[in-house]
Amino acid sequence: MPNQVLMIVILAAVLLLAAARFFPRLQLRTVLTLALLAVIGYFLLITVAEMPLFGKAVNPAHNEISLRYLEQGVAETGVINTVSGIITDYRAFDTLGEATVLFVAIAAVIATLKSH
Amino acid sequence: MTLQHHFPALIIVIFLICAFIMPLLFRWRSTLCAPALLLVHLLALAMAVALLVRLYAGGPFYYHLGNWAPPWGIELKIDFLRVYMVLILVGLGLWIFVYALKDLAHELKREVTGWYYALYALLIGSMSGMALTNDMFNLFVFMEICGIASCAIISIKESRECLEASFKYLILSAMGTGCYLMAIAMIYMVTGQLNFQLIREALPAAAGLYPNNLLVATALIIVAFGTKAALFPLHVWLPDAHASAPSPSSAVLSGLVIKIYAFSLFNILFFVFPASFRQAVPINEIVLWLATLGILFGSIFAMVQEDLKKMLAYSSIAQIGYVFMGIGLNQPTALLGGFYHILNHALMKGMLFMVAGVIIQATGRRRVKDLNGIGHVLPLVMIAFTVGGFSMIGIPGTGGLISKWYLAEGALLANRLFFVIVIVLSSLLNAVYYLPIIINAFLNPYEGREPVKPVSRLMVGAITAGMIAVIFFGVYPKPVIVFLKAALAAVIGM
Amino acid sequence: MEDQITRLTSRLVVPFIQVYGIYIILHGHLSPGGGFSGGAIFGASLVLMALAFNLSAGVKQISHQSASLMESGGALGYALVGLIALLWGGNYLANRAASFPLGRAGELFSGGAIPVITVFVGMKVASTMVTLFYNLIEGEAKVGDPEKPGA
Repeated sequence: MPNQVLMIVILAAVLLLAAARFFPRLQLRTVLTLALLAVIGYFLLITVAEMPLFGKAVNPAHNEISLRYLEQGVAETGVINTVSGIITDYRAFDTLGEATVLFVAIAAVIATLKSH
Repeated sequence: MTLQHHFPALIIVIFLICAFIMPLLFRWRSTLCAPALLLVHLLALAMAVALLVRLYAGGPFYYHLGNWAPPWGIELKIDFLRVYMVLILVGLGLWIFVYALKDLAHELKREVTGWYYALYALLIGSMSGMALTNDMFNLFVFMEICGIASCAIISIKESRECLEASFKYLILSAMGTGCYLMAIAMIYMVTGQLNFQLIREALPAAAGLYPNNLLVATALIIVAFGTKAALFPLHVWLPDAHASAPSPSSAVLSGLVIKIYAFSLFNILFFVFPASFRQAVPINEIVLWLATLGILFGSIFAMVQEDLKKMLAYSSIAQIGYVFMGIGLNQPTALLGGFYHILNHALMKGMLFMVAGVIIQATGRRRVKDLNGIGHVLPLVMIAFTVGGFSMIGIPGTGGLISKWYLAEGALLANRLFFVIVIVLSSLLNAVYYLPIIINAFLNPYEGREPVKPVSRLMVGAITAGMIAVIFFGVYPKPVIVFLKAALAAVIGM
Repeated sequence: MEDQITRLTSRLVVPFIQVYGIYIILHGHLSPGGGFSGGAIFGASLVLMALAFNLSAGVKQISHQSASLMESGGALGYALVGLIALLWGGNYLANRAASFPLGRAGELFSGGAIPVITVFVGMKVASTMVTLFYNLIEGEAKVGDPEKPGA
């Protein structure tokens, strides 16, 4: 890790110098923003590389939660569409929240338009 | 099972139901809107007190929505700190709403007041939900409601600045919510859990396998809640938004909304991340230093403001820094100071924004320079401003001193002398911009020929109640301090 | 814009879209779909009417008042289903625990509170789409040209 960070910092510095040399009209602010974005992008990329692979049976997300939803969902909620069973029964409170988000969006739009 | 068992969910739901009914009520029985919302506040307050009684009898407890136990369903957790937050939210929400009853008539068109009440109910309800929920995704849902509602109560006022400020807030707030959603996705991916306690149990194993994922998720969480709560470099939306909004909105945004995000960050840092994780990654240090910068720069920016409400808004950036400093120092006494400051700052900043609203309404002046001699024409209101200003500075007899005192003591106990100096320095900075206003208001003669418009007694009454509360919590802080000490004793070791 | 082809086509298509939307909502617990998607389809049909003809034709289909009634009613109904669960001895928004009759899985009347909630969500989403569209178009018509909106 420290080596990589060092490498990135050096690379960014070199790029900065080069950019300042070849594009004299380029503003420092733009260059700094680009450098920052590059650093953030690098970290996001190594994170993505580390993520558990999609669809592998050993992934942490495949645990007792989805197992129970799939195996006992029909008996416990009475519906054969498991997705529907999860969003309107197991986690119905979240869906109430989402319906409220729609309501608050409407309220915000009407309030703003009516007042102007 | 008695009804009392369901109070945790009902506190949130009655606000939502009230908001859903409000548009219909406004259309057909518009005089009933305000009493309905008042009634809901009172009911929620009574339920919160009942929760407190139950806590004293039996300790923290949980509420499973839909009777599904945590890994499968959503859980609300009721402990002393969360009930403390709910009491502040609902109690001060009621107080600000009483003020808003009269103030809104001057700031809003009549046909949107019903929508304002609906948005206000949604705001208070979603904040109570954020305080009580023990589930990462449920927290996100309430953050969404809270974020949109807080933008809307700014843009509801008919002015260009409000639209601009509200748009800026909307974009940054959406960015914050997006960051948090991404963080949830990452945490769920590596732990497979959404419940606070279950993530906490799964994290040590996940930290070994997927360290970078958790680091990035932590960074995203700090950015998300930092943006929402105006932690220093992410505060850019706050001054415009809080300064241009109608006065009751400013009071509720500065007093309550930024606090609940700080509280949620505290909840995640202390109840989701195990202590070993917090030692491995310097989260507390980052929060601490950003808070310090916020305290200093917020005050410095506030000094150069010409607009009264903008000055108060920058002062909020400094004051939320104290709350974050309490979290960052990771020391029980400092945390106590931070939590006491949540109450104190909500009270005094709410009151100061109300005072600003009254001054603007009565005289039409909002520049700091034009406030000379205003104490002669609005004596009671300016006395309240004086008390609020003294509390910001930390003069004995006001609540501000007590919270700063505990923060400083905590910093000393943690062997961080530097932060004691920061607190003292910031008190001096606060004095630099609050004292001249107070002195000019009382010692200079009032200039201006235009008559001072009469102000509703209810508004002045709300301000007076706030003033009494600020003094009360400064002179007799013992009950709250004892309560918080007991509540926080268990937290730090976690 | 007065385009015969557009008008005739939309008049033909709208009933089918609406039936399809209602089907998606009512079958939410049996097949892929549910309140959000079905409501969006139903709302889209009303938006299509307003686009192909003009705003008043759209408003004739569903007035402001009924839109706002559906708006509040959908959300309110959802919250009240949760409260009924309290009366029947469950926690808030409970289904089986509040002894809602689950029925035989796979039949239309099954799942206890779930189809009811789905219908309310569908109402809510449909009216949200329509209200949002009307309000934005009307704001546009007020500020901009008085021509038929959406044309």
